[in-house]
Amino acid sequence: MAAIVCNNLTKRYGKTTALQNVNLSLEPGRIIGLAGPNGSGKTTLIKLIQRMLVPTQGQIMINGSEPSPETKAHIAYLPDRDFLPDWMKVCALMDLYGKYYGDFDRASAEQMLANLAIDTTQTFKKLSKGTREKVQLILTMSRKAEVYLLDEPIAGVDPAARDYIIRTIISNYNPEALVLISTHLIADIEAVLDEVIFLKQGQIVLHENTDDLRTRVNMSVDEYFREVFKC
Amino acid sequence: MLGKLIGYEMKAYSRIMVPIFIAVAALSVIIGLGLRFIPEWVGGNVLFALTLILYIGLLVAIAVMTTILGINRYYGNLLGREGYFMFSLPVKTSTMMLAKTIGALIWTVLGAIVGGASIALISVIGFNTKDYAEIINAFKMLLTEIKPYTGYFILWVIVIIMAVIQLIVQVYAAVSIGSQWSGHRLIGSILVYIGFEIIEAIIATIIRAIHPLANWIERVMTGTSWGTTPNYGAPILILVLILVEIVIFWVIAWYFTDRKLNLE
Amino acid sequence: MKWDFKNGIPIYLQIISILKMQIAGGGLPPGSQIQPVRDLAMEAGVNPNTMQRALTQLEQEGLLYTQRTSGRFVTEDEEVLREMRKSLSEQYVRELFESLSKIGMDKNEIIEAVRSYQEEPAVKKEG
Repeated sequence: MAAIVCNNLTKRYGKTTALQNVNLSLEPGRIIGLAGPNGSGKTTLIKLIQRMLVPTQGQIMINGSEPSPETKAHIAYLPDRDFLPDWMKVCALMDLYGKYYGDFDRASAEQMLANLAIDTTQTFKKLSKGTREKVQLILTMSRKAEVYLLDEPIAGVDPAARDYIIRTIISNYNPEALVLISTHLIADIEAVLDEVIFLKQGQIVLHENTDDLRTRVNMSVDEYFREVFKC
Repeated sequence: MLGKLIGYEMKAYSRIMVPIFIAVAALSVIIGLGLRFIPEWVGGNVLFALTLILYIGLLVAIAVMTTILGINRYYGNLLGREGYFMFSLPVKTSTMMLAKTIGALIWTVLGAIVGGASIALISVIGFNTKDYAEIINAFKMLLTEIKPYTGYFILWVIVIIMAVIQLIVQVYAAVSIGSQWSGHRLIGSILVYIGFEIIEAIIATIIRAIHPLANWIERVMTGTSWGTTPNYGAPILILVLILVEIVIFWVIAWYFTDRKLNLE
Repeated sequence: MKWDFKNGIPIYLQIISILKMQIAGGGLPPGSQIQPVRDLAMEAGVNPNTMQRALTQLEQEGLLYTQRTSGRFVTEDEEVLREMRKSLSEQYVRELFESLSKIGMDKNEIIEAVRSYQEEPAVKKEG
């Protein structure tokens, strides 16, 4: 059964259309890239999956049910900004995750934080920006979720941090889970993608297996992306 | 889940409120001790004046911080950046709203209790035992006086608590509508709150213009008491009106928080 | 191991040729154990599914074999290894001929160039 299905999904904000008639079926066990320039509707799609927005038309199904508190229990979401209560200590944030998410693997989170020598008694706000991003990634990936929604995890990070993020995603990869990564910088992550979706002005212009795509167009996914989204 | 969410609210308030509460308690002790052991403490002592100003300032701070935190636990925590965390929790929107409301109510009540208790503390420490016995006596007499009206008294306490809840939910409704206006969320929220007040005033004016209704309300509010039976009409009518407002504001807040969520 | 991926070629095919080079060059000697898929994927920065696909194909070609309990190993079958070296060398020679004929050299010129390179390799290596 597909992990995420979208049927004729449309989202409008007043007169602006953020997503137009999106049809998608995403299988578990795959790492899928959601690629498009800023404003193409990537975050809107992710927010709809996470029920932070309600569709104007159409439907989303997550493992067979519509977005709800029950589906959120199995979705690990990493927004594209600082989103944790920043007055808390890192260890208190782990308590928080443990309390609300039955699938949070605290030992794994502690191990990853220890590997980076992050002091868990430190207040989140006082950490550097890069460290905050890593803590958020670690907390998200330490959940044994069915779906991971990672919104622009590599935007604006240096190459070392990017490699760390990619390795963290791969090492916590669960063969039964779906990982959806949104990005406007496809080159950095194309090697980890099974499939890629191109989103252009709220519409899906491509959804293909990345190796098939490379063979078909005889280019890297990134080169093809640049061609499709040429200004 | 509701219990966990309320626990989270307690933690968020306590890191600001508990230090203020402790400071109030400490100052109460100091003022009390001063009243008792320093004869010239009251009469034009600069130190006493300063302590008293600080004490009153802290009481004001309790009220102000409870209000600010109460607003910000919704405006900031639910509708701001942290909303991305809150709305990822496997919890219904209404459960989160309920936790926020209960949290705000608990801290309002706690603030009132701390304020009252600090005055009691000053009295207990400040006056010598003779005064102390007199105070207890007066209090006992007051209790005997009130006794026949216990039910009536409790009813008014419920009215006050509901009025606080109504205020809280009205703020939630205002900020959830105001936050629809990206880039002007705060000013939007304030304008919506003022709008609510204006609408309430208009409705009150309309009711006053409908004479039969206005007369009926007048009769209920001023209704006569029979012997020891007080007029229950007034608090019951007020309670009903407050409950209606709570329901209306709750539905508005829920609609704009759940169906029309517009995170920062 | 160095993992550099070129554009326009499926990544699992590139992984296969990198691993073949390692086996042929002795980086992965016959009988040596291969790291678990996830570790290799992490090292290469690729999707574990892609790494799995490459390893499965190498197994099908007989270059790797799996022992149920202890993991995946490089074959010790000399015949298979010789076959692989032969096909690799054919591939490189073909690529050499293709590139050089693109710049206008004919068969004899290419062979002559190879011979002269072989006679003074040190100098050429410096270049």
